[in-house]
Amino acid sequence: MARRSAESLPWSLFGAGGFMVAFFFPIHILLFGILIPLGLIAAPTHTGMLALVNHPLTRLYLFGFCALGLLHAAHRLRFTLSDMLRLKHLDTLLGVLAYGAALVGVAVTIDLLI
Amino acid sequence: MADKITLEVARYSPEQDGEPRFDRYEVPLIENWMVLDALNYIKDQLDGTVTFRWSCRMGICGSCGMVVNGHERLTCETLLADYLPGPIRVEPLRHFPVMRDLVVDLSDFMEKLERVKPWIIRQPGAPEPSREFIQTPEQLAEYKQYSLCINCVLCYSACPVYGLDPHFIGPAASALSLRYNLDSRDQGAEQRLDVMAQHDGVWDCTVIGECSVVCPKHVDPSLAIQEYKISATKAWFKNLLMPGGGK
Amino acid sequence: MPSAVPRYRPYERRMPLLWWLQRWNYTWFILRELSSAFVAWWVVVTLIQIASILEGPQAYAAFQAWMAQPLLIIVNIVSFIFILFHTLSWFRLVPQAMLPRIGGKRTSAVMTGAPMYVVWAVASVVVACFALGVF
Repeated sequence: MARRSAESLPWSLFGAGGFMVAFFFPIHILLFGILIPLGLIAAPTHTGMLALVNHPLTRLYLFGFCALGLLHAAHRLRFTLSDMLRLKHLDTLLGVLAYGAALVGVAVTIDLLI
Repeated sequence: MADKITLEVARYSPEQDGEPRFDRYEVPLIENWMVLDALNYIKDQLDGTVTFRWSCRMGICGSCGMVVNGHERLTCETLLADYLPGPIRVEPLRHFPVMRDLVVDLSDFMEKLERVKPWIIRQPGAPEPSREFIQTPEQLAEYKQYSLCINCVLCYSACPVYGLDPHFIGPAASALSLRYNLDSRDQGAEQRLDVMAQHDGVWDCTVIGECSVVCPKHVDPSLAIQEYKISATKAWFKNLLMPGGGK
Repeated sequence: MPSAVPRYRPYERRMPLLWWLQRWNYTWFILRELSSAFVAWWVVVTLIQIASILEGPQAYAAFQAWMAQPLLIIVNIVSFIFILFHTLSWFRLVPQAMLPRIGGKRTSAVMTGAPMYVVWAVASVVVACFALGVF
């Protein structure tokens, strides 16, 4: 009998990241990517943003935002590429590349926030 | 209303053809005739060599599944008149090897179906019941939806993941496997999870969801697969925190 | 299980390269999955944003000028559409699988999806208030 797969680990991170993206990404993009750059909303001051980012709870939130977002994206990109481009035979390589890039991103996030 | 409609039927002879071709047949457009009735008319009146599977003509045996104008259908419940003015293109189900014309080789599905143990499992040594098992309507409702699967394999034909990787356990087998896990009489959930949580189990599914769309019995195999992923993940973390403790 | 080598030669088919253009549902699926690229993009933007805030007022101003370029605004509008697509499909598909039954009864996608919209709205308002200095 073959063993149960360890696929549970990346899949659960993908799932957690899916909720993070669904709940929190739209408002971030809407504010910082569209409304503020278009000048429809006044940009928050640097002093205010710095105070916000320096709060430990904000840092925890931003870590979750970036790390879960990256792990979610990595897992989904791995399957999207293998489905869309018929690359099932390269699954291991795609996994190494996708999760590897995500882990590098997580390391950068930790470096930035600690 | 027209009185005739044209069918373009995929033909493949394993002894002669390198690849399939389409033969055109004109059949009478009779109200309430299904695509299967038209195929039977062709076989009886026009060309006796056209080969296809069918049995019950009432959507329960699951043998007349084909691809009609690009979509998986049970041909016994697909009205000719819905495709006016035609032509209607009839092809064998996708992904499975074509044995002849509209008949596909289902060996792979049969092997998978057996692998997921779609029957009541009692633990060895479990006390023999002194009478028949009683099930409440609530207990029946738990699995009823999944039990309606008729093994017509339209879902496998609609599943690109199965087409890309034939090792994937696939929709119907997953739904039927979960059907027995949800049965109050069953004790085999662990054994089935052993099969479903393997690399070739449920993990390749990317929730395209077309399996649930084409199912003529309104079974939701896509949901069954996600439920299995969650069960497998719970068990995996439990085993990580308490190695061997779950058994 | 096939017991003997078949005497016939079955016709084996392969998925066409552009299989995801065959049906709308397949195309929607690929578009939904491609939202992941925009998720990755937006994490990169957020990391640059954090770094610029931590670096100082000048870097923060440079970040804002960079974001105000028309090309980036277009990219971000496209990102927003893809992420919305992710959110809506996620609420439709995922909570039901996580909560297949509540109080012993099988749930429906509507039943489990609806509370997600409430959480989403609250989360968005809270983030906006903090970001815009309302709190």
